[in-house]
Amino acid sequence: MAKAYSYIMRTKWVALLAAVLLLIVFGRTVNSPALTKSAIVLGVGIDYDEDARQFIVTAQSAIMATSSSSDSGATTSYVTYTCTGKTISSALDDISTKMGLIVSLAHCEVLFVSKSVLKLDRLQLIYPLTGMYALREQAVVLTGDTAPREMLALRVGTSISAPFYLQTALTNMEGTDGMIRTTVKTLLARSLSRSRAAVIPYLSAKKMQDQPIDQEGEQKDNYEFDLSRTLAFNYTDSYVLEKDLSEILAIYLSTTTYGALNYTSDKGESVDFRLLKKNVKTSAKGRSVTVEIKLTADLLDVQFVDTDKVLTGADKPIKDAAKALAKQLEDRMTALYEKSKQLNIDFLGLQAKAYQSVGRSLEEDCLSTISFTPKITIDVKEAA
Amino acid sequence: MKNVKTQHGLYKNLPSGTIYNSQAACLVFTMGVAFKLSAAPGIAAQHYGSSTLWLYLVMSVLEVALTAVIFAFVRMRGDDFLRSINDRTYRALCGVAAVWLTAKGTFYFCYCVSYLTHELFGGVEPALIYLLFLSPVVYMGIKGARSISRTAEILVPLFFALIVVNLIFLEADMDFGRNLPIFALSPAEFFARMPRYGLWLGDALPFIFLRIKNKRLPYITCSVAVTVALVGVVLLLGVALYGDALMMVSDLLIHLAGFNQLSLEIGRMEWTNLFGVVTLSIMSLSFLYFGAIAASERAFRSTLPGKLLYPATVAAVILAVSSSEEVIQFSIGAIGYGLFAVALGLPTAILALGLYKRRRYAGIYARFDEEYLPYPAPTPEKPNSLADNIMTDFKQSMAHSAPANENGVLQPNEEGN
Repeated sequence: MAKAYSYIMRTKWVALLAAVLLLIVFGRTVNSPALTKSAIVLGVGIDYDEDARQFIVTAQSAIMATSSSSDSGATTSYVTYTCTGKTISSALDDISTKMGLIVSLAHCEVLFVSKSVLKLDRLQLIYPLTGMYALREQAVVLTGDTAPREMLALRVGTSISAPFYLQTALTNMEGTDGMIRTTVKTLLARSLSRSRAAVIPYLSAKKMQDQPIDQEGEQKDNYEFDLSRTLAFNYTDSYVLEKDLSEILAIYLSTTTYGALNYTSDKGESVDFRLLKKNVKTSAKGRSVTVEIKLTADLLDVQFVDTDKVLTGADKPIKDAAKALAKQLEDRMTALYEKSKQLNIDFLGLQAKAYQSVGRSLEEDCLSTISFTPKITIDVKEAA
Repeated sequence: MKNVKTQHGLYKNLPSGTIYNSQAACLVFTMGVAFKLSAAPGIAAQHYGSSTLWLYLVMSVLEVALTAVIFAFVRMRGDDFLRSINDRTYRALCGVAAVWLTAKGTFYFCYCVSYLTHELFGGVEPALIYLLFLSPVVYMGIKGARSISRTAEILVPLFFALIVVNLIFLEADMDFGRNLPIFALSPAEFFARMPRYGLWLGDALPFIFLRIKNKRLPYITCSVAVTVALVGVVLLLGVALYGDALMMVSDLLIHLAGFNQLSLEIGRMEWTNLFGVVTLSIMSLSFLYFGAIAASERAFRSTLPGKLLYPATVAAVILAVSSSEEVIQFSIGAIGYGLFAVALGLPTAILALGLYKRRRYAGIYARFDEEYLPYPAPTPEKPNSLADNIMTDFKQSMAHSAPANENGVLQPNEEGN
C-alpha cells in the first residue's frame, strides 16, 4: 500500500494521466459554447422606460456564414434584436433566445445608452455587463438624441454597422472636433468620484444628402453621424454641450487628442493648427483648482492673411494667432466652469480634485465654493 | 539519494526539506503576488477608497517585518534545533500553525475560486471548479516544498516578465491624484479596520519548516524588495485607473492586462495575466498546504492530520456554504482580527522560543550537527603536485614531446623540460 502510494506520488505520468482523464470526463459534461453558437455582439443599446420600469436592450451582432455559392466563401450580415426586461440580463437572455445564439459581449466595443439610463445606479448598470457578459472596460459609452434601438440599426455610408463605425471613429479620432472617448471604466471612475458627474459623446444622425452608389444603383437610407456634441450629466441633471465647448473639454479630458484647432481673427484671417501633443496638469490647493494645458501644434493651413511670403510656425502672424487661440481656449474653459457651476454638474471633476487636497473634511456638493483657473499655452513646432 | 556536486559547487540533489535561496525567492514572489494583487485590492477598496494604496503600504511593512522574523528563524536553523531537543512548546506552536495554515488555505482557496469563477469559468458548475482547482493543490502540497519551489523557479520569471510587460504597455486614462487623500477614513478608523485584512499577512510562515541553501546572490532580499515594489506600483496604478470604482474589480492583475495598448490591435490581453494568476495561486495554495502538513508532522508526529485536514475542510466548506463569497466576507469580519493576531504573534513567538532555547541549550546548539560530521575527523593529505591540475596540464602539454616510462611517468627530454 505504502509502496503504491509512494509510486503514485513520484510518478509524473500518473499525474498527467489523471489530469487527462479529468479533462476527458469533465470536458464532456461541461457545456462549453462553441464559437459557431455564439453571437459576436458589436454594440449594445440600453434604454429605460421609467413608467414601466423596464429596460429595452438592443444588440447588434455580426453573423458569419459560409456559403458554397459565394466566391468569397464567407458572408457577414449584421442583425439587430431588441428585447425588454426588468433587468438587463433578462433582456439579453431574451435576445439570445430570439437569435438562437449565446450572447457574449466579449467583443462589444460600443455601449449606447439613453439619457434615462444615466439616472440609474451606474455600478449596478455596468457591473453585470462587465462581470457576467464579459463587456470590455475599454468599450466606449455614448448617448444621443434618438433611442438606442433606432440608432444602432442605422446604416452609415462607410459601414453597414453603426457600432463598428462609432468604435473606429472614437478610437482613431479621439479629441477631434470635440469627440470625447469615454470608456466604461472612465464612466464608473468619474461617476463614483466626489464629482459624481461624467461626460459622454452625444450622437445625432441625419440622412446623407448624397447617398452612396454601388453597382446596383443608389443605396438608400444611409445616415451620417455628428459626434461633436457632448452630454454632461450627474445623477439628476444633464446638459448637451455644443461643439466649441466640447472641443476644449475633449482636450482637457481625453487621454489622447488628435485633430486640428482653428483660429479666425476679427479680420477674417484663418489659421489651422494640427495638435501634436498635449500636457494637462490639474492641481488643487485647498478649494482652488488650477489647470495648465500645454499644447504643441504644427501649422496646418493659413487663409486670408495679407502676406507675400510662405508662412511658417516661426513667423509672427502665426505666433500671434497661436497666442490668441490659447486665450480663446482659456475663455472657453472658463465658460465651461461657469456652465458647470450654473448647472451644478461637476463634469470638470473639480470637487474630486479639491477632495484630494482638502481631504475628507470637504463637504459633499460644494461646487459653488471651488475656484477654477485655466492656463493654456500653445507652442508651434514643425512636425516631422 | 546520490548527492552529486555540480561544476558550480552546488548540489544536484539537495537533502529533503532543503531548497535554494533562489527558489525561496520565487516562492516569496508567488505568495506576494497571487493573493495580494488579485481580488484583495477590490475588497479593501470597498471600505478604504482612496486610502487603499496606503493600507497596502502599511500592511507591506508588517509583512516585510514578519518575513524577516521568519527567515531569521530559518537562518538559525531553529526548526532542526527545536525538533532535536524535542521542545513541547514548539510542538504546541506547530499545532497552532497547522490549524492556522489550514484555515488560511481554506479562506484563500475560496478567495481564489471566487475570482477565478468570475474571470474564467462563467456558467460552469462550481463543484467542478473546486475539484479542478483542489487536485493540483493537493498533489503538489503532498509532493512537498521542493516540487513546489522547483515549479516556482521555472514559472515565476516568466510570469514576472509578463506582468512587467503588461505594465509597460499600459495605456488608459489615469489620475494618480485618486490616491489622495491618504486618510479617506479617519486615522482611528483606518487603523481599527486594518486588522480585518489579517488573512493577507504571514504568508511566508511555511518557510520555517525548510532549510535554505544559499547561492551567492541575496535572492530572498531582492525578491522581497521586488515584490513589495511591484505590489505598491500595481496598487498605485489600480487606484489611479479606477478611483473608487476599484471595488468592482474582481482581479486587479487580470484587469490591468486588459488596458494593454496592444489589445487595440490584437484583441483582449487579459489572458496573459490570467495564466499567471491561476498558476501562482495554485503554487501558493500548495505551499500553504505543505506548511500545514509540515506543521502537523512536528505537532502530532504524523503528516496524516495535516494531509487530511485541508482537503476535508475545503470539502466541508463546499458542502456547507452556497457561495465562496460568503467565506471571504466571513474571513474579513471579526475573525480577521484573530487571523491578524496569529499572523503577527505566531512567527514572533516561534523566533523568540528559538532564541531562548538556543541560549539555554547553547552547548547542544553548537554541536547539534556534529553527528552528521565524519568520524574520525578527516585529516587532509599533504599536497601532491602530481594530483593537481597544474601538473596535469603540464603533462598534457608535454605529452607530444616527452616520452613516458612504463609506469606512465613523464621523463625529461634532452633539454631538461
